[in-house]
Amino acid sequence: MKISREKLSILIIFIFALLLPFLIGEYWLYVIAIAYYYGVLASTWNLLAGYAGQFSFGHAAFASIGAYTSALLVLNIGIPIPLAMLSGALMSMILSTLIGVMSLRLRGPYLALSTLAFSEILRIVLVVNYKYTRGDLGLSTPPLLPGVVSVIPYYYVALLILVITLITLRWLINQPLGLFLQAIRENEDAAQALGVNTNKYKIIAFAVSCFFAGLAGGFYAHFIQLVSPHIGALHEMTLIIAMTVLGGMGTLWGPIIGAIILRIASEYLREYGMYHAVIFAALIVVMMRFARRGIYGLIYGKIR
Amino acid sequence: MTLQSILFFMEQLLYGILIGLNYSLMALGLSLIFGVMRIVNFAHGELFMLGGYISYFLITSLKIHPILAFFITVLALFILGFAIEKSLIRPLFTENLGDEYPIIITFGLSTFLVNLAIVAFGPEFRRPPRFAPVKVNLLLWTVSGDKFYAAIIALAIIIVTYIFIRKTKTGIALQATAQDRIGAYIVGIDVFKMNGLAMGIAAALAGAAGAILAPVFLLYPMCGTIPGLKGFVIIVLGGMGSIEGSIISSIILGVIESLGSVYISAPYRDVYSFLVLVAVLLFRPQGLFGVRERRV
Repeated sequence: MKISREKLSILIIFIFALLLPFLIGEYWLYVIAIAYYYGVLASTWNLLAGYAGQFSFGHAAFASIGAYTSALLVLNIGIPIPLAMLSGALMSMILSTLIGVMSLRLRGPYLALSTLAFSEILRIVLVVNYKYTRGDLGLSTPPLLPGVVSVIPYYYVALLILVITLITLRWLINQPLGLFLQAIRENEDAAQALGVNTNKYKIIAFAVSCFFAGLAGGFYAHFIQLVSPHIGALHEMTLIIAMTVLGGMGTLWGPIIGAIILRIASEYLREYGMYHAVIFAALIVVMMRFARRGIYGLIYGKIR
Repeated sequence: MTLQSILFFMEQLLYGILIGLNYSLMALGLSLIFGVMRIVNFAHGELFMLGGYISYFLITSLKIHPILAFFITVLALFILGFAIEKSLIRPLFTENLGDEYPIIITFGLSTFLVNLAIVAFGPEFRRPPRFAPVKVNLLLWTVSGDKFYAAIIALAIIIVTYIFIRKTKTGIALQATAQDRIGAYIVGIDVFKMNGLAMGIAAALAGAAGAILAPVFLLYPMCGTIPGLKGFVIIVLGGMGSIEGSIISSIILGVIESLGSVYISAPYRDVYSFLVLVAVLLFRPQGLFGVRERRV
């Protein structure tokens, strides 16, 4: 059996990720687990932005929908956490489908505008409904794995969610759906003329990407054990975009690379306080202006 | 309905119109940018914020007279807008990039400016000195002087800008570029200069709004987010790129918010704009004054 170079490198990276808990300490394992959370967000945002050319500024907000739905269900009704996380993901998918049906049937920047408004409104709604959400203070949520003090089991859960996301994305991209999405990005008129129901596929891409955002949000809620409006804030969205753009938009691996690099970088930049946010924002502008293919694009271009 | 409740209703209506006039400075600029370049400037709220800070420091640190400070602010923002177009947005037209380019680059610029403001000016709230009397008597009502004067200045700026766009030769060249880019290019209009001009004027309008509204709504690094968002809702409501639409829709949104916060619920006042956006997208996606560009 001949294994292609791509499959071989994926296998090596996967084994490395499995062995990581034996190589680094708890602190950095925690950092990497958080990086996987962002990796899920960045790579699913990339399905929408990089493959389908549709822009959502609500990805972090949908993660917070997942987080709050899950947290509120567990705290008020007491259903099992994995089920609550799934409900959060479904809730995020339902809301995104509604917004998608409204704004994706139109050409132009309507999705970007309505998701931006949505995330800002969600923040206000969360802060105003203090009785249920405890506003800016946030809700403390029970841990996903009760009684577990070590980060290692959480690390494997994060890895599992990331791997499921990547397998789904890879499968979707190689389906006709993935090709339709790329056709829509390149030329929506031509795609429509060839009989592609562009609205339907744009909405499916949006709903799928928000499902995973909601799932990741639910995991994050029960991992850090605090749900606050911070999860859905626009600076989180900036981070997601910066990761995707740095790693390489429209590539499967780029967003993950970007997420891990920026997550580690923010640990080192922590002592500089707010400057790291300035640097990340500048990174988006500079990468878009001068290196649109991102790190993955640059490396891949060299190998070929 | 008593006379008192009618008077109260009219007072809220008046407030709505005053607020709407202030929104129109933001919306007109966004509309101009969209008309000429077919892009949405997601950094527009941050230009508002910069206008506020520049005018604040000119007045408090350099002790410059508020009126002179206002003109310096507007000029500074005009130059900044021109520079943003030349350095960041120009590649969209010269390098044949996709729709994602302007969205990401202006969003990146927006967060860059917010965080830069946090680092440079600090996260605390600042209150610029008032430039108007506390209360103004207007027929039967007494309204806040800041809001009243801000609205009057906004109205004056809107009228001047409108006349500039509709009557002067440069303004007509801007309109021509908005109507048909290639056609304008063929008849000898420097379309790149028009891009810069549209961006410059829009930035100057946003800066002017920031300078006159800062005493009303405190100044802090994120203070442009909500005004920017209102601007986006207004241009969708008015019809993307429609100059008249953006002005009239500003007043409509101002009135909806003012009445909504009194008769429905005050903490949700910023949520009404989202409901307006939803309604427009559902029932009249081309906006009140827009034309459907295509039906496929």
